[in-house]
Amino acid sequence: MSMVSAAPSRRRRVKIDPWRWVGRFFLLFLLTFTVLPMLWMVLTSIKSQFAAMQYPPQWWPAEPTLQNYAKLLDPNGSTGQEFLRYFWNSFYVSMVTTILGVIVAVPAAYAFSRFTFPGRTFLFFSVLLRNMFPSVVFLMPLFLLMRWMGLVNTHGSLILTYLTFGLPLSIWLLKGFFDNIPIQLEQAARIDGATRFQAFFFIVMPLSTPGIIATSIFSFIGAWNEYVYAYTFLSKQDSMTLPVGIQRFFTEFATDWPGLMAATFLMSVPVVVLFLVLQKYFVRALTEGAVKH
Amino acid sequence: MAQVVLKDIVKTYGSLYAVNNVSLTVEDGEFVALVGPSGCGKTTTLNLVAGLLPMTDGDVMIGDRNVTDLDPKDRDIAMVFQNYALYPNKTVYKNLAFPLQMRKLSKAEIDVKVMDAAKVLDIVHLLQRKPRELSGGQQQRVALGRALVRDPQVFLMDEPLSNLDAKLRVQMRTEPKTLPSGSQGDGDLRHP
Repeated sequence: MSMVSAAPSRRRRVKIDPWRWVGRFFLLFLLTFTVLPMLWMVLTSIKSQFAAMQYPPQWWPAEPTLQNYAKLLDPNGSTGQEFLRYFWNSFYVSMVTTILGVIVAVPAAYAFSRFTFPGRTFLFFSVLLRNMFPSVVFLMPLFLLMRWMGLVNTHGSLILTYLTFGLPLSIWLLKGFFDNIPIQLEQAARIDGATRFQAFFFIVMPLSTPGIIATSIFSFIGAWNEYVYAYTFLSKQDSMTLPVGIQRFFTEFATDWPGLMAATFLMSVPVVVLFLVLQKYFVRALTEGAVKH
Repeated sequence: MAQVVLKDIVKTYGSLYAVNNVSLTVEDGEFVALVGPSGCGKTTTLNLVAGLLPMTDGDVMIGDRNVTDLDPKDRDIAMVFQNYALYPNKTVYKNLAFPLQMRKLSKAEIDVKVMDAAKVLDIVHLLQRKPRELSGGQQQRVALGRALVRDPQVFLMDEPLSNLDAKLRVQMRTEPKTLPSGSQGDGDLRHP
């Protein structure tokens, strides 16, 4: 009896589900699509200028060299000085954007989550208004505004602009986090002798750390990668950020491909490291509130 | 030690009356339970006494003080919430110590009071655990401990037994009455 019933179930298990395989191939395709360029970037960055231009291409560098990295990171050489300056500018702009973003987004999200006030829903959705348009639409108006305020060619212009990009998402994400923290915890704290602010600072803030970390990564990465605004607002060479600065490896007659790739690789390092170290918070923030606990 | 007096308290949400003209006097040391169907305003009444909700009308007196316009922290009350509201990121010890820290007691005083409360509630062995590592009954003891630890004038308990299984509920039903041993027992509003 058991044999009879076992046989068909075994056969069913072996059966191939074609859609599952289509899905797997699609994932494989996507993975190749995203990983290959990065692989090529790393491989090119350890080639010599000559090897990088060879045709047919060297799939694997015959004489791998770290010379390009050494040149970029050498504080005494002119290339190194330039690169490190761009790197520092990018880091400064992204860091200040992130810190200011958290300082503004945390109280804003908390207010949206906990208080009812006239126009709350309207304000909450109007925060998203900026995200309904492609960012290029705002390029010229913002440029004119920055010129009027005398901020062109300063990092302040970028920080202000990036804040307007990053804040809506930060506020929405953080509000989801605060919504998930039972209000009774704050009430208990207030009965225990805390002021409203103390209840927020001692009880709610520590519980929402993952959300704050995730939104910080978001604004950092956004500011770190931004190109169009940095290219428009900054024309002085010593204030340029990395995405714009790297362009200088394209010259009129020749392009230093290995140098460009090495610079690109170094530029992606902070983002990748940040992401790997903090990715568990990232995933939690994005799925938080998806299911009721 | 305090008498609690509610004078014509009203709470409305728009045109809806959540609490409509409730007057009640709870004598010093008395133990009062509010009973009623769900949605009848028991929790709202407790929140009004605690000061967690703004009152539409009426007065709340604790002892000889009119606390109607005071913040929850200034009313000298303790409350046990339906879901216990233990601070999930703090150990049991720190949960119990929090109300004392907020009142700026010294470390030594805090330690003495926390240990006393923990002994009464038999949770000394749990002090270093986080709330999620406790059973429902243990969590409830911690919630009670947090209320007991600083000698408040009034205890408010919002369905403190509803999260427990039937057996624990019977056992615990007798405990709130026995716990505040004499000197601490004041006006209790309980919410069964």
